[in-house]
Amino acid sequence: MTSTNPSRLDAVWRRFAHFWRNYYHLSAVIVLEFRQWITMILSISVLLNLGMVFAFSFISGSREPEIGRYFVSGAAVMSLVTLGIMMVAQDMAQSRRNGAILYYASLPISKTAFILAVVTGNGIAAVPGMIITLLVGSWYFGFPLALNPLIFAVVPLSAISLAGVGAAIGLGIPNWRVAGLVAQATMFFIMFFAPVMIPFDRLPAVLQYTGMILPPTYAAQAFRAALQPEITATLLRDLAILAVFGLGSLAIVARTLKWRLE
Amino acid sequence: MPRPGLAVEAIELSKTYRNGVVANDNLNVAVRRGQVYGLLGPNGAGKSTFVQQVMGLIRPTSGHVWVFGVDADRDPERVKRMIGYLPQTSFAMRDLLAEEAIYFTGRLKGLSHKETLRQRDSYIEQFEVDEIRRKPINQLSGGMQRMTGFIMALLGSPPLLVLDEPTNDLDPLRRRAVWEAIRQVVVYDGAACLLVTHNVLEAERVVDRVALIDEGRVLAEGTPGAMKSRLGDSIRLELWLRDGAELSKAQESHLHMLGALHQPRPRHLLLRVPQERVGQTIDSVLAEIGADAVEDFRLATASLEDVYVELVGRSLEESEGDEAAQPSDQEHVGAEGALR
Repeated sequence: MTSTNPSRLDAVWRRFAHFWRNYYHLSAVIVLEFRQWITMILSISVLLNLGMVFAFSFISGSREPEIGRYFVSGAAVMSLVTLGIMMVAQDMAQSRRNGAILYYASLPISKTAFILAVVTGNGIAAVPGMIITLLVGSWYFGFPLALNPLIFAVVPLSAISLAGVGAAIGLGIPNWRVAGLVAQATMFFIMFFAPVMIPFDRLPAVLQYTGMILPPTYAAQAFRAALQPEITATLLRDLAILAVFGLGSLAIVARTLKWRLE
Repeated sequence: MPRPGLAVEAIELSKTYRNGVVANDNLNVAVRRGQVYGLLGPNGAGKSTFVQQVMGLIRPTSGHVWVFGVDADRDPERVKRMIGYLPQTSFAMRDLLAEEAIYFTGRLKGLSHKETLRQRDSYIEQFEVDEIRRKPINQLSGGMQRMTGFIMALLGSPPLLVLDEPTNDLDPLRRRAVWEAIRQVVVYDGAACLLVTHNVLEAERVVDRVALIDEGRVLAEGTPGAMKSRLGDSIRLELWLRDGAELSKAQESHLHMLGALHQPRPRHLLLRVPQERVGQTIDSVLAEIGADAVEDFRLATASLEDVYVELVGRSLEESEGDEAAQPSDQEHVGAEGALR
C-alpha cells in the first residue's frame, strides 16, 4: 500500500518541474542582466587575470612552461573566485539592500532555484574570461592546452562551491558595505595565502592547513588536473570534495535565505 | 478562523521589530472581493509592513492574516500565487528590456510561454506603451517603470492586487488608464485590490473602503462617504497668502476661533467651518488679514484629507515633511535587515 503512491509521486514530480522552470527562467534573467555590462566585465576580468599571471611570473623570474601553466590555471580559477565569491556576495548584499530580493520573494518561486540561478549566471559570466586567459597564457608560456572532458564538471562544481561562500557573505553579513569589504578581503586572502596562485609547498604550514578546508584549493587542484588529458584518482577525489562543498554550502544558504523580511 | 468570502482578513495583527520598533499594533482589516481597499497614511505609518505581512514576507508578532482563507504566515507560497504585487520601487530585473522583464515575471508566476506573450502584448497595447518594449528598465522614465511594474502585477489575473503607490510619477492620462484598469479587474473579474497610497485626493475617487493608518494603528475605517460624514456638513476654506504676508500670533488665534485651523505651510491655511457660517467666515477672515494679503482661495466640501487632519491633528503633507527630515525606522528595518 505504501510502496507506490501515485499522488505523492505526482506531487514530487510537480515540485521538481516547478523548481526546474524557476531555475531556468531565473538563470536566463541573470545572464541577460549581464548582457548590458558584458564587455566591461569581460575586459576587466581578462585584464585582471593576465595581470595576475604576469605579475606572478615577474616575481618568480621564470617563463618556464610548467610554472606558467600553474599561474595561468590559477588565474583562470581566480576569475571563478571573482565572480563566485565577490560578485555573488555583492549581488546578494545589494539586492537585499535595494529590494530586488523582495520582488523575487513576492513571486511564488523556489528560493533554492533563485540561489542556484545566481550561481549559474555568475558562473557562465566567468567562462569567457577563463578561456581567454588560458589561450593567451598557453601562447605566452608555450605550454600545450589539452582539455579533459571532466573540465565540464570541474567548472560548475567549483562555481557552486565558491558561490556558496559568496552567498554566505552576502546574506550572512547584515550591512552591505561590510559584506563587500569581507568579500574583497576573502579574494585577497585566496590570491596570496591559498594554493591557487602560490604552490602548496611554498606556503607555511598553517596556511597549508587552512588551504585544506577551503574550496578554492580543490577548485584550483581539480582545474589543473583537468588541463591534462588523463583522468586521475586525485581529480575524481577533488571533484567529490567540491561536490560536497557545493551541496553543503547550497543547503546552508537555502536555509539562511528565509524569503522573509525581518 | 477566517470568515469565508473575504479576500484579505487581518485580525489583531501586530508586529514589533527586534529593535523594538512597533510597525503595527492590533490591526483589524477586512477586504472583500470586488473592492478597492485603500490604506492611507504617511510614510512609516505601518502600511508597507502590513502589505508584506499579507504576502507572508513578514511574520506577525501576534495575530493572523488570511488571504482567501489561507494563512499568510503558514503557507506564504500559496498566498503569493494569488497576489499581483507592485512594489513602491523595484530594482529587480532592471538591466533587462522591459518586455523581457514582463515576460520572465509571467513565466515565474507559472504562466505558459504562449499565455505570457498574449497577456504581455495585450497589456502593452491597452496602455499604449509600445515604446517600453525594447528599452532596459533602468533607462525608462519613472512613469514608464511604474507602467512596466503595473503590467507585471496584472499578469496572470491574480485575484488580489497589492499596489504600492501605483500612480506615482505618472502623467494624468496614464493615471486614468491605471485607475480604469484597476476598476475593470475589480468590477468585472471580481478581484480585490489593496491599495497603499498617501495621495488622498486620488484615493478618494477610486477606493470603495479606506483605512486611515497612523503609527501602526487603524484610526478610522469605512467608505469615503461615511468617513467624511464624521465631519458633518462642514466646508473647507483654503487660503494661500501672498509672498511676505505671514500671520501674526494675534491673527492666528482669531482664525482659530472661527473654525478648525491648520497650516501645512506658512502661507497655506486650511479652515474648516460649518456650512451655514461660510459667508460670514470669509468676511471675518478678509477683515482680519486683509484682502491684499490673499493670493488665492478655494472652497470645498470636506475630503478624506480633512478626516485625516481631524484624527491625527496634522495634514498628510505635514506628516510627509516630518518623514523627509527623519527617515522612518520601519522603512529602515525593511531596507537593511531585509531577507536573511
